Amino acid sequence: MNISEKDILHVIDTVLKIETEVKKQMVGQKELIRQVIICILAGGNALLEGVPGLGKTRLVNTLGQVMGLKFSRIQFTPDLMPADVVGTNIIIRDKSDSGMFKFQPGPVFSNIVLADEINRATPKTQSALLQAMQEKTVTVANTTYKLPQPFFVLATQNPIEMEGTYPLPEAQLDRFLFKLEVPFPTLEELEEIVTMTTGNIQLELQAVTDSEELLKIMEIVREIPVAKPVLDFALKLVMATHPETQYAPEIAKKYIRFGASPRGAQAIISTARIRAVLEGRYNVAFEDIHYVAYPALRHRLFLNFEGLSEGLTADTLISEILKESGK
Amino acid sequence: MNIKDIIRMLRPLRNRMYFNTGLFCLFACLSVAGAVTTILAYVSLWIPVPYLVLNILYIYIAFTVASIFISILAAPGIKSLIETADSLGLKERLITAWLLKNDNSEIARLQRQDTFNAVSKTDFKSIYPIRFPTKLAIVLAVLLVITSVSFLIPSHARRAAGKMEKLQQVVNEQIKNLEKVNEELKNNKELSEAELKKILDETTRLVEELKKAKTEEDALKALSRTENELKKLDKKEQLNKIGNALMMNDMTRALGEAINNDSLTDMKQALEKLMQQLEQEEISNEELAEMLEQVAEQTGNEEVSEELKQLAEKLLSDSKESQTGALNNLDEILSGMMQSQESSGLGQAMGQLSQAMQQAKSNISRISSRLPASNQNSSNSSEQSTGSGTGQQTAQESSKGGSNVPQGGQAAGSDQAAGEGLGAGKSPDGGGGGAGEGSTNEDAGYTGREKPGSGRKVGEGYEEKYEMLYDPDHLGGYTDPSYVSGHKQEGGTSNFTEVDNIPVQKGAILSYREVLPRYSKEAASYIEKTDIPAAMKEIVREYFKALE
Repeated sequence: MNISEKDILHVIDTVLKIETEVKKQMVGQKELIRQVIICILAGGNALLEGVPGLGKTRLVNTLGQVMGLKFSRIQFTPDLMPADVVGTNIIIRDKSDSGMFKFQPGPVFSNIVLADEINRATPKTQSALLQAMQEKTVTVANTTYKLPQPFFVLATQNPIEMEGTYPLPEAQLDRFLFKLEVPFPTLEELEEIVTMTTGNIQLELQAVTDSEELLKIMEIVREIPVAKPVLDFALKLVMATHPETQYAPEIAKKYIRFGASPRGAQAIISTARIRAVLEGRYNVAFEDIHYVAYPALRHRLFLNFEGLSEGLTADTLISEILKESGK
Repeated sequence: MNIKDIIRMLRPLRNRMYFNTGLFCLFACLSVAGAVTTILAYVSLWIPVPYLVLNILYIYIAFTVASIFISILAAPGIKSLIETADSLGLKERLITAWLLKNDNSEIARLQRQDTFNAVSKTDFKSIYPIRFPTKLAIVLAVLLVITSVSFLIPSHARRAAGKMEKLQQVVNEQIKNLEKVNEELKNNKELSEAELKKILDETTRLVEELKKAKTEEDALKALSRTENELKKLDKKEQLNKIGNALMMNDMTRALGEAINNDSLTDMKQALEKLMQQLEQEEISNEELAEMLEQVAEQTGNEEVSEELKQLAEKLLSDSKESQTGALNNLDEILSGMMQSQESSGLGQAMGQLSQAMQQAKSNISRISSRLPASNQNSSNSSEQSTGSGTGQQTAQESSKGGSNVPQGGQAAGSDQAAGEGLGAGKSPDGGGGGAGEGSTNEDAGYTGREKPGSGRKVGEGYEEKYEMLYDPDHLGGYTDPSYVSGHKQEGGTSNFTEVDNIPVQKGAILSYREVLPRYSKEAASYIEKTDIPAAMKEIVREYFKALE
């Protein structure tokens, strides 16, 4: 693909416009917004984790509007069935009163799917999203349906309310490109949130892009070159999360049960490219890898009992591994 | 826009990296040199290291040169340059551009352009300063101070090293002289091939030994050894020895005198007379054979010695003919030696070599005297021996024996003239050697005969022959004191010691090696018994130690 400087500038401009529009509805959370956009432009799914009321749903909703994409929301509950997500065949009677099955698409047939409180649904329902997230297709009654492009799942989950929840299995977690932690707003941000949401001011959101443009942007950013040393660094970083490898530092050997899958490496490189473009560069730098390493790897590292009992988090280990890398 | 343009713009950074590397290498190497020289400086306080300052200088120069080579080899490569530039905030732009240098795609071109823009905006002078290796400089300064301090510490080894330096210089000079003489000898047509070979072998060996010599003693021993070896070639010397040995006995005195006078006719007459006496049984053949055996032992030449021993055996046979034949053979041997001495150019060669070696000995033995007083090994009494004039020494000696027997005397005294010297006492017929006040261990081997009261500079005695010494039968006995006259001048001091138990009984001329242990032992026991200054005792000990 032949890209020009103009294309790159257009990408940056579009992202800035998206951010500006989103910020009309979202107070603070600058990094979160940027990371969600990076994840979307990389064509990945994001898992947003945070306590209730931090604006996770609002963010996803706003992004759907601003990006000019078809948006749907699925509130995950324990009684939610897979068919409620992907759709089902229903009998339709024609004029001659003969019946026939017709596929009724579920909410998953959108560009952006908000899987709200995904851990509240049963694993069966959760797994209904697996194929959609990875292959961007849905199979119902032996028929495979292609999902609209682009397709993203932005799921949210509450980390503290664990009763009656079904933690996502590792296989499903791995399908998420990023796991983003939604921080609590600062005092100033909180004040702004309260002011904005309790008054009569209604800001109109504008769609600054559309699905076609987004697909083109996604294609452009994939052209950003990654130098061999940078690629090696990313790969060694992933290898370092595996305690059995020679690249693993002592802390990884001691506290990690399982390391990141190859999807982790893919996630790092694909998102680092976008981050580089957003930083105005035509190449990926070590600092891009550092930036995306946390959201790309934190849900792919599984601590052992020792690590959990010592209160370590995946982010702590990632920090240590990055420090050990010396870059 | 290509990668070369970008790399060209990195030149200021490259120069700075180069300079920093060079500076670091230099200080690192100098610090290592500092550590090495510090160790060397302190080791030299215990172990003599000649040319220490020069060696230290060489070490610093060597490490400086090494640092230059290392710096050249450690010139920043393109990869290292790129990595450094990237680490300075260019965020992997350069490494990417370098890897995409052959890529002509639009994105690669854009990336290169972006890199070029970023590099051109970067001021490497401000973000990559010249880094002076302060820590290494401090280490170097500290090491230099520590090394310098070592020079303030007085050390015996340092003084010894000073001597070794001097010795080396002198030895080198003497080696050159010897080589010059060797060259001249090679052109000497009168020398036979065998003689020349022997001389060259010996001088080559001498040169090797001189090079290896660590002390003056080593050098002097090497010279003496060579001299002795060369003397074996010297027919005149051999004849002299034979003549001297024959002169010891009344029976063969005439023969000895004839040999010493180089008179072939007299020698033949003396032998004829001996034959007649033998025939008429005026002298016994056993006595003559015994005499010849003694002569054989003192010739110093194995070949001649063997022949003389065989003659002695023949003389012991009952047959008169065999006895006469033996004397005829002796006539042939002596005549042959006298004739070959006259015809050969060996004498001239020996003279040259002897002169060269004497000069070498003299120069080597003067080494200590050339050094500053503080460098001298002996704590002699030069301080009290100030002033000028000839020394007056008093020596006590006991004298016994006939007038034809060389007498030995020992004296202790101080030489006023030089403040250091050897006091020598002399009995009317003999020579005496002894360590006087201010003498040093360089007097080793000195047995030269001194004139009464004559002072001698340190080391002069090496020039004398010391192979043969008078050997008294025993030391001890009562003797009358003898006084060696001297002239005392103003400003000088002198002292004398009355020496008891001096060895003056009838003895024989023996190799000094045989005499030395007895002298040494007696001297050691004497100095312990006598009330003399400790420094003097040390001088005596050093004297004998050196002789050994």
